[in-house]
Amino acid sequence: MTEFYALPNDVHFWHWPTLIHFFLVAMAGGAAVVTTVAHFTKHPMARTYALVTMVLIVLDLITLWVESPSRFRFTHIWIFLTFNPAAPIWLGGWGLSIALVGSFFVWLQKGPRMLWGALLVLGSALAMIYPGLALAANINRPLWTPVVLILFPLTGMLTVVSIAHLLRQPWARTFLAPLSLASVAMGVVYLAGLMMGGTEARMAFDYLMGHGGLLFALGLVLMAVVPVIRKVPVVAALVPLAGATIIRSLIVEVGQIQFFGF
Amino acid sequence: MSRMAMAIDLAACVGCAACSVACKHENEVPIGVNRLWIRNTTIGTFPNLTTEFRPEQCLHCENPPCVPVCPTGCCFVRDDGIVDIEPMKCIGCSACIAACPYDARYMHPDGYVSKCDFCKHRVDEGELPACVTTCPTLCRSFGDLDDPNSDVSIALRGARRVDLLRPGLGTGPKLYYLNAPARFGLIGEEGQRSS
Repeated sequence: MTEFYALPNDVHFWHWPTLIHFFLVAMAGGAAVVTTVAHFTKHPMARTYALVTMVLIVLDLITLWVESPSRFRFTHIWIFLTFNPAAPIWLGGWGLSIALVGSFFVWLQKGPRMLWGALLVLGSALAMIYPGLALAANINRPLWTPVVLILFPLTGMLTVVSIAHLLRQPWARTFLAPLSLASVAMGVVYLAGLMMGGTEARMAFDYLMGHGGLLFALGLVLMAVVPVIRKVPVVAALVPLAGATIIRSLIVEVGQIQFFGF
Repeated sequence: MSRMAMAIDLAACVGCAACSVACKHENEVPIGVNRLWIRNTTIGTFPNLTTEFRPEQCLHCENPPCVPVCPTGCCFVRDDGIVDIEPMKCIGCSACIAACPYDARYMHPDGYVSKCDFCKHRVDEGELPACVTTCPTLCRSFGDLDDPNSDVSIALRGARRVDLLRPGLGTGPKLYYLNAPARFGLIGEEGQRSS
């Protein structure tokens, strides 16, 4: 047998740096949402949140650049020279850039407040929905169901709120348990959708269970116990953060499978 | 406008992989990845066995899911229907690889996505793709679907049976499989499991 008789090209096209990107983009998008709310409510920490958002976006963009196989060809400029709104990555690239500009001016505290706020609304919304959209757009990959369109923004916000809780931000405690439980609920809906789906969906469910079912369950449990443990700030922050990251990473990593021809 | 397409007669294909070798040579495809490969599947229980040699490659879909997800527009459909890539605009994000239901795309070591382009450099000169000219059993036909006298149109008209890969996805592949050896069509389709 030669390599001509084989399964086609590599099953895994996104590797561990992409998982870091998915974590960072959740943090960056979530931080942009927090900055937006803080900006409009004239929260005293708005400038700090804007600075954190900028740092996270820059870190994420650096990760994207480092993981890109074309990093020294500088072709990424074409994202900003073309108009492809049907492409989730185009939306994500623009969303992060707009959020970066908005955060910068919020941090600078100069210029029209409403305009910077509007930029943040647009940028943070795009940055939040883009990761789930980038997965759900691929109808050929049965583990990337439309449920991830809700699950990913929820878990993304949960990671940011967890970090905020860790940093003793008073408002974070209010949102920690509801976001955790909502994420668990969507995680269950995600699994139920696979179990009750067609042949390919059930194959995908079996594949997920065989390649990280225990981890997935652990992720759900870690998020579900938040209401019980939320009185201990460090634990209450780190546990759902770990749960959300496990669930997101598993769906991205294991979900790259498709059962064509197997 | 034309719609370039290919048909492969599976009853004539012997799985020799000459097409795959010719493709590698013609397009300087790197080691470890393929623009064209042979899926060799046998189903059934002895003595009732059916073997299918199925060459697979980019299907140049009428509704290619790889094109709209490209964030730079480097994936596009040419006027003749060939789904093409402009490497100088590719950022290597792999969104098109994720979107392709046929795993037909790969990351070139130089940092851009690549795949079968029906040997566009040959087609533009009026020649046939390398895989077509190389096939020793003449199982491949290529040409314009809109031309009733093209090789591919004639082959489609004369086929006992015509199958598409994953037709349920609505991609409209322009690579047709003729005369599949199994009575139900292509092996692996519609929940059929190979053994």
